[in-house]
Amino acid sequence: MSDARLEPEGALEADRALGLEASARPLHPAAGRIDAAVIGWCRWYTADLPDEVAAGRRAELASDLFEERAHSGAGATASILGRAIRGIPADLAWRGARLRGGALGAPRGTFPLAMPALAHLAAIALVAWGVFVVWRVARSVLLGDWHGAADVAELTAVGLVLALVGSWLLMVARHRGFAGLVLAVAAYLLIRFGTYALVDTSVTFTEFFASSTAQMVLLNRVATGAAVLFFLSMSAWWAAPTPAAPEPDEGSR
Amino acid sequence: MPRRREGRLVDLEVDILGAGIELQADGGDFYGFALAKRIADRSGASALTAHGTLYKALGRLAERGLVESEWEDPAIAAAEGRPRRRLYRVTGAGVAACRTETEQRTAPAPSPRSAFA
Repeated sequence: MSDARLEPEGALEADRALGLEASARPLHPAAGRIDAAVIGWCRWYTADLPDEVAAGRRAELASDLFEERAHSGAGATASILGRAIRGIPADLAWRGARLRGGALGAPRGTFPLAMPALAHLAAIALVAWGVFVVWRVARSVLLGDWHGAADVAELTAVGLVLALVGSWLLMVARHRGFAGLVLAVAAYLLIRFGTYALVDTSVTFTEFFASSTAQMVLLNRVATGAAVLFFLSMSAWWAAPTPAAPEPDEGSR
Repeated sequence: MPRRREGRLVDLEVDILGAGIELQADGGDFYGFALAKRIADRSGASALTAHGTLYKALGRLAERGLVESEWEDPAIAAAEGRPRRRLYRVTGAGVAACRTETEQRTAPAPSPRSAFA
């Protein structure tokens, strides 16, 4: 059981991955939404793994689903769903092992940045903050009690747009490096200026800010710096070429 | 998942090797779904092993050299209008490991008193 082709290793792996991806496409005629959801789940947890590892897992799962449909037809839906749900912990453990393998040569202390779940969570928090601030500013303007500077509100709105764009880019594995840059800019605008915009929307906020200005300014700068640093680090992590994870069971034997 | 003891196999790995050896005797290589089906048939279970659990365990066994795999010829899969199968085979080391594990499990546990004899 061996592949004996005289090609560079990278080209060989890319060919294999492409071939497996193409092979995984045929769906059984009885396949339905559950099959698509299971394949979608697999695409998600393999999205940022090395191409050959990801393609191998997707192709193997596609084959399994096809064979089960061929064996049991439409009656396989409950079984496929149950197998997928019961296998989630193992899927995530397998993914974690592959990621740790891929991260061995990376700088120490940056491992959590390799977790898309953490990045999505941070992006959602940033968008939620932006929506809250923009909603407060809009409400304040409509009620006629806005007394802040226009540029602060405009920069906050721009920050929200960038946060939405960055969150969308984050969902595409190959754009995650760029998404980190966009989110870093969004974080700067939304936290640095969004806080001041929020202060201007309410008498209560203004009084609170005035009573502890130094602390609030310090908190604002620290939070802004931490958020920008987080997204920049995330961008640097994903912009770097992913080292190939060792996958002994992937190779032909 | 049960805690693994050094050099020993967990239940699922024994099931995989046992079912794989049977499938191999029937017709050579075997693939994931056929393996899950055979494991369920052998144990009388109605539910098949979960996808993630099965393929993770197969990966572990491959790392230990107890099974080996290769992707099916694309022309065969294309001719039959289905995705390619990853074909597995239990190696000689896998057969030996399965036999040893089964023997160790069926052997009576030594009496604690024998340690002081």
